[in-house]
Amino acid sequence: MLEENNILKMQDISKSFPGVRALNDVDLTVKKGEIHALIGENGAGKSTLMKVLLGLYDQDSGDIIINGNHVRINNPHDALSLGISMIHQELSLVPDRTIAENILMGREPKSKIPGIFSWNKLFDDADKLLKEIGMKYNSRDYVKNLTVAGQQMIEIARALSYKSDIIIMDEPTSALTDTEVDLLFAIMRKLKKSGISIIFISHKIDELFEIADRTTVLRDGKVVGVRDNADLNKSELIAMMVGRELTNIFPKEVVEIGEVFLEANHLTRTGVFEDVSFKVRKGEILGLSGLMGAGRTEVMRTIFGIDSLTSGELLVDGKIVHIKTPSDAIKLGFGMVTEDRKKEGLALVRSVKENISMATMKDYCKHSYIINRKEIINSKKFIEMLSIKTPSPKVRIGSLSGGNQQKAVLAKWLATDCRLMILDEPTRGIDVGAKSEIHRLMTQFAKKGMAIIMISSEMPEILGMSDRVIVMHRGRFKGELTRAEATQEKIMHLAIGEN
Amino acid sequence: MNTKKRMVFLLAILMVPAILFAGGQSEPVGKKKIVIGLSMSAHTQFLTNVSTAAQRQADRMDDVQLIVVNANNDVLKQINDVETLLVQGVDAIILNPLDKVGLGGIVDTVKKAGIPMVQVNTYTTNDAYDVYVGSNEEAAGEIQGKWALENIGEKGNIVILYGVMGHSGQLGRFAGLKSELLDKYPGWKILADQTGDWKRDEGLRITEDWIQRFKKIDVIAAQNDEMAMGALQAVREAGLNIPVLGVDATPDAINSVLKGELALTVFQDYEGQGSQSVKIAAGLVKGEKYDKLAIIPYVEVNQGNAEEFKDKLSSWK
Amino acid sequence: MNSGNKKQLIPAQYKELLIKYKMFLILFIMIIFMTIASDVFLTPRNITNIIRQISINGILATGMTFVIITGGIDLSVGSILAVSGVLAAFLVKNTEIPIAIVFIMSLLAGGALGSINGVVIARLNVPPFIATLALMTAGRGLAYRISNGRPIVDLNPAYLMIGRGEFLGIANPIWLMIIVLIIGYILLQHTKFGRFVYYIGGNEEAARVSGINVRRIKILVYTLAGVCAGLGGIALSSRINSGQPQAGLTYELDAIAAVIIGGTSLSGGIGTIGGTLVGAFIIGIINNGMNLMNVSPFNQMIVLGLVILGAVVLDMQTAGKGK
Repeated sequence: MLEENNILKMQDISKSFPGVRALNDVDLTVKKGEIHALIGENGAGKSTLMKVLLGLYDQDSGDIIINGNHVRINNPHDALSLGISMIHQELSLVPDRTIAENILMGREPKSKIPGIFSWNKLFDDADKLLKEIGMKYNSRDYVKNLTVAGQQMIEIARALSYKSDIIIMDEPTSALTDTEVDLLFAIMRKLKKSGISIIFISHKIDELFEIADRTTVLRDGKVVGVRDNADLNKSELIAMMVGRELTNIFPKEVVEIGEVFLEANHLTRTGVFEDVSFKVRKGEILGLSGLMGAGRTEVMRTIFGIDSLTSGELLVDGKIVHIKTPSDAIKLGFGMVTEDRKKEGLALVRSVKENISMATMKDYCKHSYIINRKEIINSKKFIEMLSIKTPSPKVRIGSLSGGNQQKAVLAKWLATDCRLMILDEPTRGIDVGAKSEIHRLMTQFAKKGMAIIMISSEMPEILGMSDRVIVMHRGRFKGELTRAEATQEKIMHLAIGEN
Repeated sequence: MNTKKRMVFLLAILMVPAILFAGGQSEPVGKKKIVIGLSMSAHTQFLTNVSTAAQRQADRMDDVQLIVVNANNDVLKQINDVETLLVQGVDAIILNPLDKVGLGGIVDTVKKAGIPMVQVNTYTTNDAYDVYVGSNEEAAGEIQGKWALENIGEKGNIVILYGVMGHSGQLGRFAGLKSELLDKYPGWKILADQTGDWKRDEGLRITEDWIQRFKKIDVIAAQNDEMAMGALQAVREAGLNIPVLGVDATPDAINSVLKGELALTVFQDYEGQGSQSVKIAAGLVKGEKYDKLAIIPYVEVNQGNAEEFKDKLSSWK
Repeated sequence: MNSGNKKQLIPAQYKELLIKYKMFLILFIMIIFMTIASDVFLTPRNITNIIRQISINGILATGMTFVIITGGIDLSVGSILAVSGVLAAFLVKNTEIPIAIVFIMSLLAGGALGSINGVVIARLNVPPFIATLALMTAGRGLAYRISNGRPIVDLNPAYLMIGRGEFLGIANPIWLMIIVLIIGYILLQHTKFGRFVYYIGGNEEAARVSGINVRRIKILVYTLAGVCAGLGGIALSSRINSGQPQAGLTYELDAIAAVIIGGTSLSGGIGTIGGTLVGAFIIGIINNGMNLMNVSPFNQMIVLGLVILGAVVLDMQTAGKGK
């Protein structure tokens, strides 16, 4: 290996936290002008490694060599001046400021008057930058007016504006639609050509194969392998990640489908969605597809009583129901795993068992007095049933990995014995192993007669898990496809509004 | 790292109390001295004079040590202060009670502990204390009443600024004013009366309002100099000439009388109150006997004798 | 280079325990310190004094614990204390109503005021800081109105027994605090209501989605704080034999300080009654200690402020643990 070709060499990096050995003699080598994928399950050490590179953590041992020079990175400022920048998974923009301000924050251009900066130059510089990258945004617009995908693109633009030699991208496509992903990849290829290196972290294996040159696989804090993508195939990659061959990613079994459980007719919420109708049957998995902003989550929120309906009717087991609060929905046997478990699913500072009991407290109480034994037995039951990895039911749930947290949310709803479960992006941001477990669980629930509505923006998941697919576009129902009929192209046609 | 820096910062904060404590007294030095605890009620200028006078007296007696605490206008704190003094094992307690009733309980507690109690400047309704050293509050009010009678006449309009309601000073001074002026001469009318809580800014604010409301005020009777000075300011700013009467003869007030601005103040002998309370408290510890009331007389300070008074005061410094 | 086996790593659980009980450690250190610094500190009389001195704050802080766990705050407890105190004094002095009924009426008054906070916060979505600040001001005015601006003094001796009497050798205010603490503890740790309080503080949106009636719980929480403040008002007015409209000024700060020092996080979701008791003790010991050492009251305020600052910094540092 020619050392001059390497822009970055992380050598024998080890890092421990109390009770956890996060990185164990990890090596990472990135060539100039290379797109290098970094992959591993949640908890494998990817983000820890990147935090070391960014100066947020000090490694316990090991060296970092940039362009042949040993360096010490003590803080993100050091990292930036060494030519390393990062696109974070969580957006860190200021919604009430303009795009230009967000991109150039901290580097605003000065005007002739000392200490005062020039608005015009700010917008000019930002527009120039966006044009260079190839993004069509007006830098005078406010960030809060953009869609989530748009905001993600601005986050990317900001990182690119530092003109770093090494750009770390952490799950950059999680909020993007396919069009934007293509744009991003085009940008990345352009950067590659000009000699910039990109460390690309993602759970989406297909993307890795499309864009990356080489892949480093981490598992449990150690490097399992480094391969040229040309020499790699999917199942081998997954095997390295999880330590076993995962051939069946979507364990969808044939399930007997029963009667209609929920019928929704002409649901409307002014300004958000209009005239949405569908049915879901017992034992059925109904996939709900569409682009970001199509209104899928919004429809489900009204069905669950979080938001209110302007008009329309809902029937459960053939009878009309009025759902005004989540409590009403739960009484009817609904459960809802929301889009963002950190925001609406879990109380991160409370324990695992407390989170699992959140919706069913009355079951463990006698006249309002909590009977601890009952609650612990119940939580242990679900921990075992769903294979939730936790040292004990009493630890803070915030310390569990994303996949296990998501399973806890599922447990919370299972505890209610629900007959309909709404899952909104159930496997987003979760590693392959946990993903497959959750899919397997969904199939199990369906087998037991549960009706399931699954909102997903991942095409393979929609195609792999659904018995039927309905597609929404801009708040309207666009079409329905059976499992046999559904293809990526057909769904995409409906999703972008064509009939 | 971040964690380490924070731990050091925290330890530094915890060390501050240690440093402060190191600066304060730890135990009474020389067990042979008589230790007297003085519980003051508040930080007015007058009361500070009283406690300073007490401290001066204690310094003059080399067998007496004085511990001074201040309740800062909080009845509950004063109760706590006295309890703490008891715990420290003082030989006698001088109490300057914040109000007449709130401290009734603690008086009994002190007496139950077998410790002599002197009350200074104000007294509680519970008269289980040994000696009251103070001035006859009524006298101050009477002096004010007499001035109004002699300088304005047998009838007129008066407004009254009270101290903290319920305070023995407030009650007594009003009683004196009433008996000397208002009861004897029905021609005198109270246009308005309000409490200024002994405070100058309150005296100012309230008087400003009164000036707006009433066309003819003949005299403003304030129960202490702080409020009188506030009232005086309001009167002068309005360009009026209403006479203002105060009580205490604080240096401020005396200067104002000298300048011809404040009409009258009544000297409350803080030196006498402070020093006598310490003398008597120490005496009680030694077994001496005293009368229950040790009255220190009030003296009128008007524009006639103000000069002489000022000289007398400076001799005490 | 294998540096792995050098240090014995503290298991994550023990570290969590240490963080959870950090305030006990601080209390312990302070007791040791004070015992060395003053030979009268650890006497039965002084300890009894301390417990009696923290009793009113302890009562207020119990109610405040619930409020802060939900992520809110209540600045009005001092004013509610004043209202209840003057109301009780007024009734005791001017009517023939039996003292037990007066007791209940004052508690209800406190609860009613607290429920106003609750409704404004839960239904009108006014931020707790603003809502309780408003009630703090209006409540103070109400106290002045009821009492006509002056303290209501010389109350019924039977009433005074509440604040000055003893039962089994222990002062009544201490009993009141003990009862409130026990009820608070049971409510918070062992009932559905208490658990809902934790859920709302941990993640209000998640609690709502899980079918919890967030509005109702919030109203109850602020009502509870009001009842505690009402009880504090009765205890105070009966102890100092006057219903004072200016009573309780800055008491809310002491209550909040006790709760925070006791380990309850301002961001909500975490906290215990036991911790609050320890927090109240720490404040009481600091006050008592500084009195024993004759530290000037102004220095005392500075020290107390620093301790609160230290507690909040410690809270921020450990809130980040476990990601």
